[in-house]
Amino acid sequence: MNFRDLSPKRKKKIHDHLVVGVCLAPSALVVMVFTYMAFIYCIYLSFNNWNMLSRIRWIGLQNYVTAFTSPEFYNSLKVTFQYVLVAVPSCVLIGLMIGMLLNWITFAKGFFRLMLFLPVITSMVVAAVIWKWLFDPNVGFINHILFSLGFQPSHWTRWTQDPNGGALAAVLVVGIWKRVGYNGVLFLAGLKSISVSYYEAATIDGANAWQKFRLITLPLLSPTTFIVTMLQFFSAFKVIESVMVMTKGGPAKSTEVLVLYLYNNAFSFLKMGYASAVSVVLFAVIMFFTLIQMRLEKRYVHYQ
Amino acid sequence: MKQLKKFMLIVCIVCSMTGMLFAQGQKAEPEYVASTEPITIEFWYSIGGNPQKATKALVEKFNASQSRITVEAVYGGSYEDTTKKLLASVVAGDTPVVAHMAMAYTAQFVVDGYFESLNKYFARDKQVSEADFVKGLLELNRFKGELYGLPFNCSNPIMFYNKDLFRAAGLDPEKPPVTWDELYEYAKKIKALGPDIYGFNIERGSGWISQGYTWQFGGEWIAQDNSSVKWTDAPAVEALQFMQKMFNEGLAVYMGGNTMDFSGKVGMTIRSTATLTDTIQSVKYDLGVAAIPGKVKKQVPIGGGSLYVFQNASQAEKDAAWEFLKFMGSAESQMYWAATTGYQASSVGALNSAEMQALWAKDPRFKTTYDQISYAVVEDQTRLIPFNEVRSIFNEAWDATILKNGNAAETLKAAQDRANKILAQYK
Repeated sequence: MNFRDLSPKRKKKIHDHLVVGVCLAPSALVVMVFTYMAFIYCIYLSFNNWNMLSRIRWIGLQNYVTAFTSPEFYNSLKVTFQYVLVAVPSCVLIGLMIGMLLNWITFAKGFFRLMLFLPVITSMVVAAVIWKWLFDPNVGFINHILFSLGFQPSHWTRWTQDPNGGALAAVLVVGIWKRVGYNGVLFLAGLKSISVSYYEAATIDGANAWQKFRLITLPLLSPTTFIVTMLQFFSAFKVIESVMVMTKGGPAKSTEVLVLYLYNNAFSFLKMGYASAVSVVLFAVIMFFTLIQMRLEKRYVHYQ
Repeated sequence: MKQLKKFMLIVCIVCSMTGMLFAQGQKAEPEYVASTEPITIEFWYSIGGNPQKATKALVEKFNASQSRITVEAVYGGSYEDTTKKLLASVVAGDTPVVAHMAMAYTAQFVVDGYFESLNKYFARDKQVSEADFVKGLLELNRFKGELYGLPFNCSNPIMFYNKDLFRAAGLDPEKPPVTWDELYEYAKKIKALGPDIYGFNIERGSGWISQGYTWQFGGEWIAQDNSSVKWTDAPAVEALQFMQKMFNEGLAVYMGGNTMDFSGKVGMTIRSTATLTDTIQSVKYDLGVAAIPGKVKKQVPIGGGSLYVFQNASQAEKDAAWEFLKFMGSAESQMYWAATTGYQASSVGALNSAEMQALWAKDPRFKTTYDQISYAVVEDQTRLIPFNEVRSIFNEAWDATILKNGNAAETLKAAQDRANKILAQYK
């Protein structure tokens, strides 16, 4: 049977598929080359020793053994988890608050949305450079304000210089500040899509504000909450720019997140193979948590 | 994420290019005849600010000085950034012809054979000889007898101090401290001026200046054969303890960058002479410059960058590159470079020139770095392949001691063990 014998309907279908295929091909090719090929090559490199200048040499699992026996690797893992554990809940909760406020506010709506969204469209490097100055322990604006309000200097007020939490806090503040506006807008969209009739019915039944929030808003907002949490989770796990600009992972590795650790190994120490192995581990970690979240989605997310 | 993408991208390019990398073979050596064909070569250079302007001006001068060779200068950012870009270009098989790199980052390039040895060019060119360059600076670029780079920008750290604060504290602004113990006393007096005034800024993060502290306290940073670091030796520990004490007593800050140094709130600091012009232009106080203080001995590290020619360029390109290198290393260019930036001139001719004497007479601050030549020593250890990693471990130990108030001996011991483990892999 050849093409001519096909029914017109079937011919059209094949034709449509061809058009779609041709249109998708360029972008598919880009994704293939720059994402999947790179990814596969990265896995290959993780079993090799390579410094970008020398020959690639197969060493089997040695890079993985090195990683899992290296205190520096565990430190970067720990710092990453600390970052994720603070950044994700803060971003989601503050985002939710912003979303609700934007939904509730009746004056200067556009102004507030714009103000909250500005950090999102600002380049992270630019933002981090400015925040680094604001957080400067000696001449920074933040300490100037804190001290004039009567705060006493402590190790925290050394910010990017403090290895006992101050530096991580500074980096976290920037990360959260940068992300909440976006979440706020997503939550706003989610809130807008909840039908007013539910609230009207609840009012008639005598529900108070908290009950409305807990029993109507939260469940119906859960698809948005899920998406926002996932997005925050991915971006928090892959944080690097702010850390690189503000602290370079220091002081004393207190802010050296996993991506910065692998970047340093790749481009400063020229251990491309080892860095590849670390990035494969990072991939596995993110994959693991994503699967857990998918599970949770089935149980806790309600679609209208 | 961007960095990760960049990394992926490089990895990807590699896929298709690995074959090309190893395809270059050794060509037979033809008799050298100066070409007359016009040629364009690419040159990647580092360091922003006044040095960037000066390099650009020199390239323009070179292009105007003759009509055959055109040098296209591409600014690569800091030393680190330029090095990363060069690595990417090596992997992609598309390197520039000439690169301006920090000597500290070149070891792997030299060992893996990416740079052209300059020996034969010195041998065949009668206009220039190795004796035209300050010896220590030239030797920094020699590896197993072969000279791989032409010293372009050289420096050593000097002491910058705020004469206004000296006067306010009742110190003689013309008598800066000459020993670390004196510096401590000076810092105490300056600190007494106010809670937000500090006596000294312990330079943070560069590594080569703190390496010098170890020397001045009488120690060594690394064994001569590069087999192990010497950070648990008494002088290395004492140097760190000394700085920790100043920090804990509030006499000193421990800051990288130049914010504090330029703010006028710090009495003294140690920085590279390379930043002299930038500092003079940026500060509003009366800036004094002096030789680095000593303790057991006076010794400063030589740092800086050289010009390197890539081995995989065509012979015509390499010949053109040599002409360019000669121009950049000439007495005239080096004089211009030193006067505009504060860097140390690498050309003996520039050192002995009347212009140099005039510069020193006009502003004696430019002379300090040359006064230190007699005790300037090659940075430990530029030829060390895992240099960056070893130095970053050292810097972390300093951070952990000063900022976490750790025990200097213990943090240095832990750091030394880590560093020695890495060194053992390169034996």
